[in-house]
Amino acid sequence: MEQIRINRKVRVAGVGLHPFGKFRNKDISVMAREAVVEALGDAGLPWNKVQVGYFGHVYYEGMSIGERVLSPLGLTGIPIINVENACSSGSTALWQAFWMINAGLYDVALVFGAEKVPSGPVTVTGSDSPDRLIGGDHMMGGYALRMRRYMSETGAPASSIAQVAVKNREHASMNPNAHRNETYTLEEVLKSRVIADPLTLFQCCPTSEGAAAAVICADDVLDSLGVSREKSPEIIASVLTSGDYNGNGSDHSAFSPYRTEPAALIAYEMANISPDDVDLIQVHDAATIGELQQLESLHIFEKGEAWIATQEGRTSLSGDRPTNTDGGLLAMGHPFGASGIRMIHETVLQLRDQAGARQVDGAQIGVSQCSGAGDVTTVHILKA
Amino acid sequence: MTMKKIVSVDPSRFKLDEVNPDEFKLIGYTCNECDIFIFGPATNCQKCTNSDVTAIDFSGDAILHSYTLIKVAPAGWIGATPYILAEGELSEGPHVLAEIIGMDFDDLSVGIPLKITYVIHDSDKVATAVYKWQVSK
Repeated sequence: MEQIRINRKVRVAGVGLHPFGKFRNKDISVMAREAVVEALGDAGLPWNKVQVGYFGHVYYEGMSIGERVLSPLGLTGIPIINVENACSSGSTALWQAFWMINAGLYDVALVFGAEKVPSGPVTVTGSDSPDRLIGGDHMMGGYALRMRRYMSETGAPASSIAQVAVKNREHASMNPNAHRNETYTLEEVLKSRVIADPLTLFQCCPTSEGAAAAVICADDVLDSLGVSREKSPEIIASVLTSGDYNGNGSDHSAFSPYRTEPAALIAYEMANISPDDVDLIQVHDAATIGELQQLESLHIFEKGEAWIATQEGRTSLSGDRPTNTDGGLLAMGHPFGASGIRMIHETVLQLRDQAGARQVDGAQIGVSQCSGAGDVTTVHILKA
Repeated sequence: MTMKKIVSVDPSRFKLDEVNPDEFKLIGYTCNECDIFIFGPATNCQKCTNSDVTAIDFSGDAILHSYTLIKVAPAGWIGATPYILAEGELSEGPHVLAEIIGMDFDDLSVGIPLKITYVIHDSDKVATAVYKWQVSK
């Protein structure tokens, strides 16, 4: 595939987040709108400067939810596109906005996402699928298959993988927006009830509700809009891939499941950086094992070594490869449509030196990565 | 009393002979250009995208790639909980996910040989043949 080139600098001018958690009596459109208003305020831009909107979401009964979120702000007639791409819905919305601005069609885009994920195990297929008889489709079951395979090939004990949950809860304890911000000991994580052996409850991300938003601008219009360049990290890579042939039709391998590795290689080339240049990382830790495999797929660590790096504290806030600095999916929870934009929210705060107690000193380059069913993977790289 | 007709849980992945239900196979395609095997439905080769593919029966022999004990089942699961979900690597290459039956979880290990079998799920209207893994003796 020929490499797509970035022809125009694009920056994240503003970010907003509705806290993640359970908000039973709050409509999803209200949650999303609050995140949007916060992002617009953060950018210092009025709503009528936005030229296009992309809304990430998965679960919703009805149509055109993005339009319903935004219409109370004023009917400006701009194109609003609703994006469903599994766990990568929010980051796919960002990808679309980025490349539309890059192509010169628009200067200012709004990227927003929200979700109210129902409780219980997540599946890709509907409840009438043949897999409800065969036994195949179970999201955490899939992670458990990868975890056992990873343990089998690397010799990593289950406790070393569970350490990811302890670490991400520690990060979340410094984040009032997290769904879960109480900390756990390793023993508590291991002794929580089994969901899909060897995965225990506290090693699986909660099903959550929440919303996130970002305002994306072309660099060449910032001055005329009066938007601060210093506050607006540049998006130096934006990559989206879907499933490619991996030789076996299913991917619960120990190393490099998902399409993260090919997406990351394109992203590093696009950004003209190496994995060694990355200061902070947000990855798709729907389960503990996911964080380790994604870090290896991003070439942050060698294959089979992320569990050792985690044991050594290298992925903690004080380590040399701080990962999931806001608590990740394991503590933030995972409202599908919002999660990819939540990662951008955290990365932007960190690159602006606004992350408070969980600030990574001197962070200049941040990677964020989402993986979704259908092997839909995104990698974004931001630079202060 | 008339016998209920036995139907496959998913005719694009599993077939059985209505007259002789001892005859059953996992099915798929092979590509005539690059010789890969595909489990389940495909109109074109998953690797080279060529439409020159031939329907095939799989041997049903596999090795255990990985496995898990599912203690919280998804909505709509028809069967007992907990259950063992396994990924078998067919001798032809493709991986197939299905429940393992007739084996204790603690007796499993990565790499042991499996073969495909099926169970009948009997509902009011139809008897459905559902493929499952079992450990080869």
